Amino acid sequence: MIRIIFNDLWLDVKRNFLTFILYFVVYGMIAILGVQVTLIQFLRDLQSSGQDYSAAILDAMETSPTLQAAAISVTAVATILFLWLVLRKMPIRLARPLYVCAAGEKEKMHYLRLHLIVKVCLSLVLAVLVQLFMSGRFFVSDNWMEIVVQLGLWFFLILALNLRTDPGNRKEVLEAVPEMVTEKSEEIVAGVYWFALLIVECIVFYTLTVTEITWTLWIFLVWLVLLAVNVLIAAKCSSPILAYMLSYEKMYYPLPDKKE
Amino acid sequence: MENLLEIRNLNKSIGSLKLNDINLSLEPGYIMGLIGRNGAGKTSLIKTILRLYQKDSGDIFINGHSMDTQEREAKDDIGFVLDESPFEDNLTIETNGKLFGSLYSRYDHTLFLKFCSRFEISPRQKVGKLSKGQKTRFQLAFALSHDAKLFLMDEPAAGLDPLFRRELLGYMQDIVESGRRSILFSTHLTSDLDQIGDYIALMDSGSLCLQLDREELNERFYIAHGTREQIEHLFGPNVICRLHEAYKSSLLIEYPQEGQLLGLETARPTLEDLMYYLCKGGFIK
Repeated sequence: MIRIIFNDLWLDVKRNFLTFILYFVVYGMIAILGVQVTLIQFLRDLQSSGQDYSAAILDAMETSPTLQAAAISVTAVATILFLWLVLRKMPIRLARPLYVCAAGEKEKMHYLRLHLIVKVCLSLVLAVLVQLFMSGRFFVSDNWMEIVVQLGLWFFLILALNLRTDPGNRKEVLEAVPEMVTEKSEEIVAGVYWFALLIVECIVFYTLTVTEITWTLWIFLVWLVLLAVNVLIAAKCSSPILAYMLSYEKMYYPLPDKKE
Repeated sequence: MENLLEIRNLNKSIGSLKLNDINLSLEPGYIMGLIGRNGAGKTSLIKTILRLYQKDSGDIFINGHSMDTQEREAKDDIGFVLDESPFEDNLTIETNGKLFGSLYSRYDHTLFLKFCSRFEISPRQKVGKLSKGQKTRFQLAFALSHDAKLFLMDEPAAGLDPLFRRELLGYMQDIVESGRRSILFSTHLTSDLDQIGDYIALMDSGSLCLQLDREELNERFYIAHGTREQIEHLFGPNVICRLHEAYKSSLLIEYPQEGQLLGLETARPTLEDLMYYLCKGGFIK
């Protein structure tokens, strides 16, 4: 099954290779622009007389934890946007032959869960690599509490971005017979509301880092509660979204006037 | 011997079509043809058997395994040849065979390659680049490579050249020869069924109108030709349909009584004739 999954992912990458290159270029431009705009806020205070702009930036980035955190935060925003664009092109799908071949619901669900896990792991690696490439660091702090929370937030963010299913022939059916299409409510919850919640949490997290607030155990406990909420949402949404794909009929609606 | 296919009280609504109380069974060693006009529900029935469409009610058993509770075991015994190939177009025949053959308990990749060679399809060719006939051959090779017991074929000969159609009918007869396997295939080409079908199931508007074996078909129905008066004056509850055309009159009758067709020219109907007369008689649309 793992071979089928990797093959599926590879086909998605091959199909969208040029698009991904374009997204990466755009990501780079946004990240660099974002960092420049952010640093301008601080630079006036930090630039010594006679020092040119680029030297002042390098100096400030090496010495100022605030600027480092700000730069990492800005590139994190760009990374999230990059991942969102890339993962839109790589939805989770059940390989079509699995609907017909010797695979029961248990095997198909196992395949879908495995597909999701592989995608989440690969997306996390991609996020770290891209972030390292752009800002030189992934973690905003050496504090273990912040590391745990940051990892947790990124994990759930990537999970939410990956809970996107193959649309099948939904587009054609929406044009031909719109009343046959049912809404995938859990996917809307995950893709819109949960994603929005995670973005807010990320904003709060990175803001705490940039403002150099000292993490206490209480702050960590509050974050643990928030992470627990995310665990509940993930548990509530993941299975129904994956289970939706078990039905060939829902994925590939039988269009009227097709050959019978 | 256990039936390879058993369908009980199957109901399924798909848009405007409704599969209505379908009951069907098929023993090992036989070929059953599913005939009917376009839109009768043949493809929908096959897709419902394969659980591509979720049935509303009823039971489906494949070699004793329930499709509801033992889907994997049931599908392990099914070989399929579908009109739309479900395999990955971007992969080669060989890769598709290897990847999806691993799902079957009795898949033999060496045997698969042998069948590919026999059916003259190159394992290195991508499935998306195959012609319709080649896709049919590929699906057949795959089905034979995992020792399928029940073959489900959805209009396997449609769109094929006459030469390959003939070959395909030959392969189908080879498949059931051992007495261990069976084939259910849908077609609107009744001439194919005339040649190889052991059982015929006629579908119309989602219902099974008629189910009979070849012997029964030969004994049950007769077409009688005669003058208009002769046809008009032939009475009986077994007269299904009378046809008056410009140059001849005829009727379809089932289980004619002795002497009932005296003086008339009689013939056994082909499946095409049967469908034509049943349609004219209002039994099917």
